[in-house]
Amino acid sequence: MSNLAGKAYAITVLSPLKPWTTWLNQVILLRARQAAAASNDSSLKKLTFIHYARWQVVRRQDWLAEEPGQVKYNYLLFFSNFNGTWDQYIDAFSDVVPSGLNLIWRWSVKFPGSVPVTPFKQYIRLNQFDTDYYYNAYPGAATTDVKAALYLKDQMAKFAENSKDLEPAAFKEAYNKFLINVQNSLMSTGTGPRFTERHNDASRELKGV
Amino acid sequence: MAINFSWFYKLTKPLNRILNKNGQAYNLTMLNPIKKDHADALRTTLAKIPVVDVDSPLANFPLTHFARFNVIDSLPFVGAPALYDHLQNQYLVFSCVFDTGNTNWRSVGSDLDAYLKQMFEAMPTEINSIWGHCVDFPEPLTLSAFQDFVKKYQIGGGFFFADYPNNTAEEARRALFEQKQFIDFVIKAQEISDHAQLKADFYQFSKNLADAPTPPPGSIFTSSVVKE
Repeated sequence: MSNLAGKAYAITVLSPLKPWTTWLNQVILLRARQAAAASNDSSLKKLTFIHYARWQVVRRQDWLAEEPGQVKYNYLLFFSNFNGTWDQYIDAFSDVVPSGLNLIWRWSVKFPGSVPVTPFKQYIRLNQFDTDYYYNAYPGAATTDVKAALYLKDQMAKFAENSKDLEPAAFKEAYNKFLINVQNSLMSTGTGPRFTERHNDASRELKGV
Repeated sequence: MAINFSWFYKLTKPLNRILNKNGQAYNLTMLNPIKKDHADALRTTLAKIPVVDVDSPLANFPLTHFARFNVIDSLPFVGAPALYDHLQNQYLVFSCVFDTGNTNWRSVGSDLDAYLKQMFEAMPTEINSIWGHCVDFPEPLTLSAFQDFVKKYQIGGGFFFADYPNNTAEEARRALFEQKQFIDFVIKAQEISDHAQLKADFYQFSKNLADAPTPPPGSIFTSSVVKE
């Protein structure tokens, strides 16, 4: 299977946390959530290529089949559903939100910091798990496409309602103004970069077809 | 001597449940131990799920935005002087983002139950074939047993980020479908020089669009309501 589904990439990272700093990590994650909820313009939203992401703590006792004492660290589990390549994603993270990332990840064992980017990438690569199955409900669209489409839908309904009684010439003028207003929301969606044929073939082989 | 933080985790458990939700979106994360010697069979099962999203069993019901399965064989070792954590078991991680349709943090319990009910009805075979490789999987499978199973292995808390937390997957797909249709209309409308005709065509297009069904979950939209 693949980390890709349509235009989205699934990253899954588990990094060890010192047990005695885990509570602090949880408080920071809570503060990060509050800060993001209070702002419609957070740094993560500014990146505009993350559909959904989550940082959460897996405690030693959450590995429910292990004997007590078997797992020595707590773990920071990070998920993200983003668009673009792995390199673009990590580069953008490192460039745009380095202090936020450092605050969240600095409690992970041997975390090198998010800048410079090469040791940061090495650390993520070391702790990343590939995806065995990944599902995307709207594989043809990137995050920006979804937000633009939602905006366009809203604007289109308003335009249709407000323009229905206009004379044809006034309608044409309003239509042109409307197009100028929504021009940044008229992007093409479609198949992503995944090699669908190759995956189909592999899938057929597994099924013995 | 190890410091015991169990009081802290008990204290924060209700909060951790609430943190599964952002807006109307809910993120479910599960960490299930896999039965001994079942990991390879589980991986094969996951690999047999249709890779084209529209054919996925998760597309059988409309609530899921994204979902993933990861099989964890061992924990990462970040190098000396860190300790090496060795797992005695392999684990299945399942994470999905789904719609609750409400922003009420008090309903996190019933939101999860409602999602699992839909999942249970939409993909019972796959639930059996995937989580059947995991420890404690209830047999025979009933809805309430499945809900209890999920909750037992659920991980909460942390920071759940959503870029469009108040929009459902259905709304996103509908908007994307309408966006594609409108682009087709705009291109076609460039050929119309008569203003009255443009207005008539726009409202006919709006009517056709309103009547057109939303494509199913996981699909990439290719059909057009704009007449050639």
